[in-house]
Amino acid sequence: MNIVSIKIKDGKAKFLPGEEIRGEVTWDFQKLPKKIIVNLFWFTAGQGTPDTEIVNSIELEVAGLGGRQSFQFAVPAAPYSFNGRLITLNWAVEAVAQPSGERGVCTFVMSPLDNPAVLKSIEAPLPGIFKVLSKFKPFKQMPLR
Amino acid sequence: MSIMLQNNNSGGVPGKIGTSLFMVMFAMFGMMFIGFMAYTFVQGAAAQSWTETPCRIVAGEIVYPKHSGSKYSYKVEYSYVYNGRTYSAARLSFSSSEGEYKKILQLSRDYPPGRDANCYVNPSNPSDAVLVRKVKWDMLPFMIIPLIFVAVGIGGIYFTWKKKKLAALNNNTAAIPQPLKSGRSGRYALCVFFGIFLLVGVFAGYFTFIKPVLKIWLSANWPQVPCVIESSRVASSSGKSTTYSAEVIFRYQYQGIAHIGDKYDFISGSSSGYDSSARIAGSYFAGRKTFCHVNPDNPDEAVLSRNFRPELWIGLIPAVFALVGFCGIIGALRYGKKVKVHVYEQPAKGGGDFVLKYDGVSESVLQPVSTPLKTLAGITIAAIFWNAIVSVFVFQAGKSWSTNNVEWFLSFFMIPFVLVGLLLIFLVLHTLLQAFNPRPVLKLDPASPALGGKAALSWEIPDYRSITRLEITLEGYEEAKSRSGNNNTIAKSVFEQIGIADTVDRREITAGNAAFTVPRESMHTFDADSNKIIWRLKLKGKKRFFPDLNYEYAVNVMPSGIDRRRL
Repeated sequence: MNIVSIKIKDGKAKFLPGEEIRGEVTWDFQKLPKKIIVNLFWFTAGQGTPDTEIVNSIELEVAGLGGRQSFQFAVPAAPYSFNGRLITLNWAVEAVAQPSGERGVCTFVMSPLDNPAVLKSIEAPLPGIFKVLSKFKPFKQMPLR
Repeated sequence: MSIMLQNNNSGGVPGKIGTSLFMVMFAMFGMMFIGFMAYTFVQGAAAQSWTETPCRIVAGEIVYPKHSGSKYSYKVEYSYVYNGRTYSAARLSFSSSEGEYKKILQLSRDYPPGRDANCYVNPSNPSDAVLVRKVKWDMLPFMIIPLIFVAVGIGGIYFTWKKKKLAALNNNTAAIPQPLKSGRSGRYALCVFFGIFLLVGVFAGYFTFIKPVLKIWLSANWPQVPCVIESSRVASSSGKSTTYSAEVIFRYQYQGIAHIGDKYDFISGSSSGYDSSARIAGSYFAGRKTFCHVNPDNPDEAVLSRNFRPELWIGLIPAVFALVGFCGIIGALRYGKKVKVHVYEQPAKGGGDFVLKYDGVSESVLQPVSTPLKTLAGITIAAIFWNAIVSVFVFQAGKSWSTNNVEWFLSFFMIPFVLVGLLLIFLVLHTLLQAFNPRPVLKLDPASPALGGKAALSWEIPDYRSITRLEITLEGYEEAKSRSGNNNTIAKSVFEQIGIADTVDRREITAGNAAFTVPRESMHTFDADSNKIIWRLKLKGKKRFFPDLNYEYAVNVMPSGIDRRRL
C-alpha cells in the first residue's frame, strides 16, 4: 500500500498573513512515483459549490521508495480564514504523489486575529421572489429606517 | 493535524436519472431528424450512379388540393425500356412531390404527357426509377441544427454522470475539495448554449422579418402590370394549432411574356388568423382583374400587395431569442474575463511586506452597480419574452371564447401566467419612473478601505428637492452559489450593516460627508467562482408619490493593515 502524509512543523494550526509555514512530507511506496507535489491552497465549504485555489506549489525530489523531505511556504496576505453562515474558508497544505494520486492533507487557520472571523447573519432570509419584490416601493414591507 | 483523503462520489441519483432521460429525449429527437435528412440525402446521392435511360411520359396531371390542409402535387407516370424489357414507374423525385402551385406548374411543363425525357433506373432493381435525381446539397448546412440537439443531449448526459472527485477528512465532517485550476468549460458551455439561441433567432428572424421587410423596401420601384386572378383559397396547416394563409394564383404578362404568380405579398408561411386570410382570399376572387408588382430582374416573381401587414410584427419573436442569445454570450464572456479581486499575492520570503496586485476602483468616485436604465433593459426584455410567449396561448384561449367550444382548462391554466406577465409590465413602468430620479455622486476616501481602517464618504445629490429622507449604509454579505441538477441557486446572508447617514435635513441630503470604520473582526472582499464576500454601499432616498432612489455601489474592503494610499 502506498502512503504519503504531510505534517506542519510543531503541529501548528494557526498562521498570520505573511508568516512562514514549514513542514515535512513522508512517503512509503511500492513503486517509485514520478514526483511528489506539495500545494499550498485555500478551499471553501458550506452552502455553495466549493471553490479552491492553489496559491503556491513546489516539487519534491523523490530519491527512493520511502523517505521524508521538508518544505516551506510563505503564507499570502489573503484571503483570511473565516466561518460564515453560508461559507467557511480554510487553508491547507497537501502532498500529492504522481501519477498514482495518493495524497495527504493538513489544514490550518490563516488570520490576523486570534481566531477566524465569525460572520453572523443579521437578517432573516427572505424567499427569492419576496427579495426581488421588496426592492419596489409598493411591496416594501418596512418603512425606510 | 494530519489527514488522509479518499475519493467520494456525489449522490442525487434520481435527479440524475431524470436529467438523463430528458437529455436522451433531446438526443433522440436530433438523431431522428438527422436520420430522416440523411436518408433523403443518401437516396439522392445513390441515384447518381443509376443508369440514365430514355423514357416517355405516359400521363401527367396537376392534383389540386382537396381540402384547405393539402397542397398541389404533380401525378406523373412514365415508361422506359431497360435490358430489352419495358417498365413503368410513377416516382417523380425522392423528396415530396407536393408544393406550391408555381413549382408544380413548372413540373407539369417540364414533363407533360407524350414528351420524351430521361429517367434514372436502379441497375440492381430495374423497376425502380426516378425522373428527377437532384441531390439536395443545400440541405447539408441544416444538419447542424439536429446535430446541436444531439451534442447537447449527449453532453448533458456526460456532465450529469461525470464523477466529481471530492476529498473527505478521515476523522471529521468537513470535506476538502481537490484544488483545481480554474476551468473555462462553464463559460464555453454557456456560450454554446446561448449560441444556439442566437443562431436559431437570427436564422428564423431572417425568414420571418428581415427578408420580407427587405423585399418590401427593395420592391418600391417594381412596375405594376395588369393581372387576372385564377383561383384563391384559404390554405391551412395543422400542427399543435391550425394556422392559415391566403393562397392566390394569378396570371400576368410582362414584356409580352405570360407568367403565373402565387404570392399575395412577401410574408411567407402561415399565421393563426383565419379572418385576415379569408378576407384576402375573398377579395381576390377568381376572374377579378387587378394589378400586381413584378420584379423587373426576375419577371417570374410578382406580388399582389407590397404593403406592410401587422402580422409581420409576429416575425420579430425570433429576435427575442437572438437578443437573449447575444446578451447571454456577452455575459458569459464578460463573466470569464472578469478580473478576480486577488487582494493578495505571495509575499516575500519571511513575510511582512505585502505587495498588492489589486486592481479595483482606481477613482474614489463610486459607480453604481446597476443603474435604473440597465435594470429597465433587463426587465423589459424579460417582460417582452414572457408576454410574447404567454400571448400566443392567451390568443388561443380568447379565440375559443368567440366560438361554442370554449377551452376552459387552457383559460384557467393561463391565469397565473398572465398575472406574472402583468407584474412584469408593472415592474417595467416602475423602473421607467425610477430612471427619472436624480443620480447621486459618491466619493470614498480611501477608495478601498481596509478592515479596521477609517474611511470618509461624501455625497452630492442634484435635484434633491423631491427627496424627503436619505439613508446610506455599508453592508457586507456572503453570497454562495450552488448547483443542483440544472438549477443554480444563490443564497445571501448579510453579516454587517454600518449606518453612515440617516437624515431628513434638506441641506444634508443635498451634500454631506461622514466617516466610518470597517470592523477589524469582519472579513475583507473575497471573490471566488461560487463563493463571495461582497461589500456594498447602499443609498436610499425616500420620495413622495414616486419610486424611491435606490443605488448600490461596490466597495472593495482590503485585508487589515493594507492601506492603498501607501502604495
